[in-house]
Amino acid sequence: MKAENPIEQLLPLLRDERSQRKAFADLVRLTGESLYRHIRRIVLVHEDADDVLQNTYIKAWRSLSGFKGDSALFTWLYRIATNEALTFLSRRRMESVPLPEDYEDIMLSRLEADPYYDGDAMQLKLQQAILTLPEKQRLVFNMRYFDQKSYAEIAAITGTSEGALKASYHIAAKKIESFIRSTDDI
Amino acid sequence: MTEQNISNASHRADRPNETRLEPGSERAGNDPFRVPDGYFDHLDERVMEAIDAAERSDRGDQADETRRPGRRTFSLAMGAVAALALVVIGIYVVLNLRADTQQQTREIVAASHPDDQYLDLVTDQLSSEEIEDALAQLEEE
Repeated sequence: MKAENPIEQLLPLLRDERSQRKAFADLVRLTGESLYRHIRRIVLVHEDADDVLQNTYIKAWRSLSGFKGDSALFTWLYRIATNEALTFLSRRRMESVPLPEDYEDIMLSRLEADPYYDGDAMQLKLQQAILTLPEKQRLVFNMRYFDQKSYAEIAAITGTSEGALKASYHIAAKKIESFIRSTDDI
Repeated sequence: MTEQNISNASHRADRPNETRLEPGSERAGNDPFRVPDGYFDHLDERVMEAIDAAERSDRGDQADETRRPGRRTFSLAMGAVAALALVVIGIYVVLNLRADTQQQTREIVAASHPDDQYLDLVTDQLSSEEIEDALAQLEEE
């Protein structure tokens, strides 16, 4: 039931100018951690995830009047966060490296140097494997594997059909397994 | 994902019908992505501060927008003054050239007809057309 969801219950308060600010702060409290984890899986480094998270909420605040309620509020926020994270990555890719195709290597090095990353060798290898995936497969894999989102939820966020998402996840998982096996053999 | 999960996943790879890398095999307790202590405690306050700063910045931009027409008017006015100055200079140059031409014509006339009658023509400040008409009449006579 939509009305029982505390996030969806904020919607009328967000539409009223008198209660909007407090309701938005409540929305941040309710959704902050989930959105952060989602963004962090995409950009990997805490500092970048923090920037993208703030930008996500700023964009959501500015677009609040345009939210028609066609999707759930949380799905809408998730979509903004996904777009912000991908935009952030593509901007970084174009700006900060001599060859854009090397950016995944840089991301991995930055992850290793991130004081807020505690992964062991195998977890780092998994991240390395995920970074070999095309962006869309990476996104679907993260949302399905780590966030345990249903295909219906991922479809609502990415605007892709469930069938295409299932195929993407399947291919991504195969590639990751193959990458891990090949590096185990070395 | 623990080492065991990945290891299991890769060992199961030779059994194609079995699901591998199952969603949720990574448990929250094993999440290697940490955050600074208390990061989520005041997230709402930090976000609202960031929103306030962004709105102040927006208002600054808008104020800039409202100031810009004033700047544009000033630029247009300066452009008009410059154009007017060029036109005035142009007119001055044309008039000077015209005066020079008339003077030269009169001098030629005076040199070729050194009579008082013709010298009068020079001193009368007539236009070159009038001088030419007068010379033509004189020749006819």
